[in-house]
Amino acid sequence: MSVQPEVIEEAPTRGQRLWQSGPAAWNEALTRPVVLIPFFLLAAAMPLLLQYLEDNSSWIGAQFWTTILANCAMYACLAISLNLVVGYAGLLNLGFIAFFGIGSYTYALVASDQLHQHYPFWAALLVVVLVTVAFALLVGLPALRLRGDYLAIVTLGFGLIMRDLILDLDRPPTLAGHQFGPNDLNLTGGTNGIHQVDPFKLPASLPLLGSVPHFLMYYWIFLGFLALSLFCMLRWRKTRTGRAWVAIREDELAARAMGVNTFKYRLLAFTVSAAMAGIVGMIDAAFIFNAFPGNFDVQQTVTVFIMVILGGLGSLPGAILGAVAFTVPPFLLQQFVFVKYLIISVVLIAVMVFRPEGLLGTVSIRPRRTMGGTVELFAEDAAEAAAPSVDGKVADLEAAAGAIVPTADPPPTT
Amino acid sequence: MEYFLQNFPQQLVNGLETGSLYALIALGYTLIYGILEMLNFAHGDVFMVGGFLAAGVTAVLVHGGVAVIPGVLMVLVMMAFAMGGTGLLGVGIERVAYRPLRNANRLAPLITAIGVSLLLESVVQVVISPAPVLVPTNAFVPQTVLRLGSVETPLTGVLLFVVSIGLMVGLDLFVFRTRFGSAMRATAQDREAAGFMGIDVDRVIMVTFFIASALAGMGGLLFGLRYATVNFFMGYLLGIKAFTAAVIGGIGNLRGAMLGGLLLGVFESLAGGFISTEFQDAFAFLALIIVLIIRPQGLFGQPIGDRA
Amino acid sequence: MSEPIPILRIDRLSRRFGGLAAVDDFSLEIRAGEIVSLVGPNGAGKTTVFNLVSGILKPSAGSIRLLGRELVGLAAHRITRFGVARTFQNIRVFPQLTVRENIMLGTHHWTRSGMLGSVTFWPPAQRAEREAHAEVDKAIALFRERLEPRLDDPAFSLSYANRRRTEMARALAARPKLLLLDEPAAGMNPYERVEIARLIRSMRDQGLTIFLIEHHMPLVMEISDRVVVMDHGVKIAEGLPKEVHANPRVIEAYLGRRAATAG
Repeated sequence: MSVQPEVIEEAPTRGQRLWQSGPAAWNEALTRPVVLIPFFLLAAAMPLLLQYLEDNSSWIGAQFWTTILANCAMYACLAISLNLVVGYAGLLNLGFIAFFGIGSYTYALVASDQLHQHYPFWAALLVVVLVTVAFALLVGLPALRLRGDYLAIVTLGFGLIMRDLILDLDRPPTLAGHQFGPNDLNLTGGTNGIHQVDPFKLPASLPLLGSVPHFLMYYWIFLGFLALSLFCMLRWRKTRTGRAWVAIREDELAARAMGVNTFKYRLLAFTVSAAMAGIVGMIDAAFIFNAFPGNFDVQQTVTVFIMVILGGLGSLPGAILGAVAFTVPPFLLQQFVFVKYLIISVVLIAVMVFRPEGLLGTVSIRPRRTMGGTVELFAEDAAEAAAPSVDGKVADLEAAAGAIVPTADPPPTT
Repeated sequence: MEYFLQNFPQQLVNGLETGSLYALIALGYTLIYGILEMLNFAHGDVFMVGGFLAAGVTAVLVHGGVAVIPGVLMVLVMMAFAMGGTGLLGVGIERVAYRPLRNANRLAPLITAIGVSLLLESVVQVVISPAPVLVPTNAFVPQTVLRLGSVETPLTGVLLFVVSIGLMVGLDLFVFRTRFGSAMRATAQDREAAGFMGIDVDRVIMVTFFIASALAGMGGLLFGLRYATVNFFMGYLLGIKAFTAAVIGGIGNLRGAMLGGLLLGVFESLAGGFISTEFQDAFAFLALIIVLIIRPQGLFGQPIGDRA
Repeated sequence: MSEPIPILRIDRLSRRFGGLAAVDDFSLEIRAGEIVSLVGPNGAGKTTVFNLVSGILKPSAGSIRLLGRELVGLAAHRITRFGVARTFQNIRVFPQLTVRENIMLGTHHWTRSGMLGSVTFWPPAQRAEREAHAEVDKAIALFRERLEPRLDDPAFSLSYANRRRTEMARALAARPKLLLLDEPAAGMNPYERVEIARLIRSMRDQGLTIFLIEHHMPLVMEISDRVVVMDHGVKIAEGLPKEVHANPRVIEAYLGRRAATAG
């Protein structure tokens, strides 16, 4: 039997590839060192430029704008860690901001007069990481075994409970008439939060750092942490761990069949993301000198979500872009603050309906014919069980015999 | 122990009262989840809007603490507005925000639903009031307190319980006894197959959203009557708890949602009364986690194979 | 001649969904280096057998042994580690990963590179990544001219046939002892089917044992060492392709009772 070879698919040209893979290629281009290194250098030098402008003209606002930049960098850090859990691993963590809060409060407790503790930086960092990881495991161990939407509701509930705990723990907790701790126990300061939190104790002897103003110092710290997180994310995405995450997100069943311990990798993504949010919370507490319950409202989670979603789930440059887009306006327009959540929610819905993959996203989120995940497996079994025994074999034989067999379309009804 | 015996009946009644509210909202979650396999985060906020619609009626029809129409008529007008308004709102939400994403990745409609939830909250907060709004129930509902031994509850509390149970029974009859109800159940089982069988799936989904949302709206009204105040944030925690109730009862299972709601209400009230009021919400959350770990298909749900 | 070692031994395997027995008391032995085909009408429970062997479903009863080691009760990812890889009936490549990354997923279970290793450029982790890259080259050996030009394209941009090839390469990269192929020729044109037959043979010649589900009878007849026929969850025939083809019970199962008695 002579066989004619199938026409081999031609490799697309570079241009076709860019067009075809769209956002993925843009992400690739924007995360090359040749783009990122100048970006970070420029970002780091920005305040100095602003200062130079202020010194040499009538314009004032270097500190104001540097503070905005610091906030942008902070939200970019948060967006990137949320992207790890939602964009890479496909887990809807709606209690995300609680981990930011846990980091803030943990640092505030070990570095303020609240409990009369003043840990050095590295000890505080260690405690913050341990505590956030412990909370992440507490939620993740039971919840990550469940289906996706249950994880969403469990984390949402967790976020709410944490907020309540923070508000209620300004007095010793009482369970069944038994009071835990002394009468004057005040862990969180209730609605007032914890004030006069220590800034980081960095060696003042370092030639440059000693004289740097507070806001500029923290801008650099945030920027440094952003660069570090970005580096880690890029490395992870390019190696075994990241491939496993994306595989789980794209098709959990196939990932399991390829030997990926899906529970372990989900837990890993969930926990690492939480720990990163905790560290950002710690830096924030030191930056603004306090830990305040209003910063960890549930709406804050949605704020970080819109940053990730506008930029596109799974896209790191997208997350940074989204962070800037939603951090700057409230600083410039007081009116915007009032309707902030109104605008955020409208944009969120609009993006999801009209461009669910975001500006640069790489997650297949578009409507498609088949359902994903486990459901499909059962649908498949059910279909196999339910299908009448008109068999593919007959159709195949006929096809081989040259008959034209209508397989896709049902015969027209007249 | 004596303390327990003395207070138990009162806590039980309180629990049944809040529990019937949870059950009413839980029905909506379970209906929508049953048909679309989608967690409608905005459902709790639809409940909140229902409360505000009812409060809006009183703002128009109560002048200087006196209602311009008789109490019964007043409540009926409030019902019409609260249920009709939220029903239409639910249909609108489905049309605009969920339908375009019906076949998308599971994550997509969930994220949209959070957006809708935040949108409803912000609209009410910005347009109406960020502070709690009082509902002048004393202008048209007798403020009688019913007593039975040591147990007491206001008339509105009994109303809340009775109306909720009535609506649930009605819904049960509708879903299991009518033609449209069987179309709903068919759609819930297999949307595609139902479509092939000539069922107008879009219409079924629309009606489901209307019913679910109207029930939530009614819940909002009853909440307003019972507690005489509504606020833009009230749907949030209540929504999560109602969802918990739906999960406890087995998501997608109507009777389960009703029982789950009552059960959660009683559990929470007892835990709050005898263990710690501050951590009452945490107990509800704990109940959710425990149920999800031990019996993820819910107490009354059928196991659906090894869907781990 | 000594008896070859059974690589897979399925013993009285059952799986019920509610009251329906999708697989009922199914036993089978596959020896190393064999190509065994599982055929049967739609709904016979073939894919369920694959899901049970690969650990995606848990059996209601019975035992599955791979080289004597019990697989029942192990999580799917553990079973892969013991040497079972599979493809799916309705191709399951990871659409947003490139072809290369898809294939590298196959190496996941036998390479060691963690989160810390990857950010610190820890040499053993680097080596593991290099091995994974090198394995891609080996895994596509059989499809080189088709897949090599597409290695860095996302899998969603591939043609149907190339997705199947990617899925097979991914399974090969898992270095399995036993390869489960679920309808590898479904949706393929006649030329591609011939190619598939050639591929399956060369995989066997490289030392793999192959267990496949296939509907296309000529293909099954051509490549199988043995054929197993299932209907309604039960094994109704087993033997050489020719024997099975002539078995009246098989004809009945395929074409219905009337056809069998009339013919």
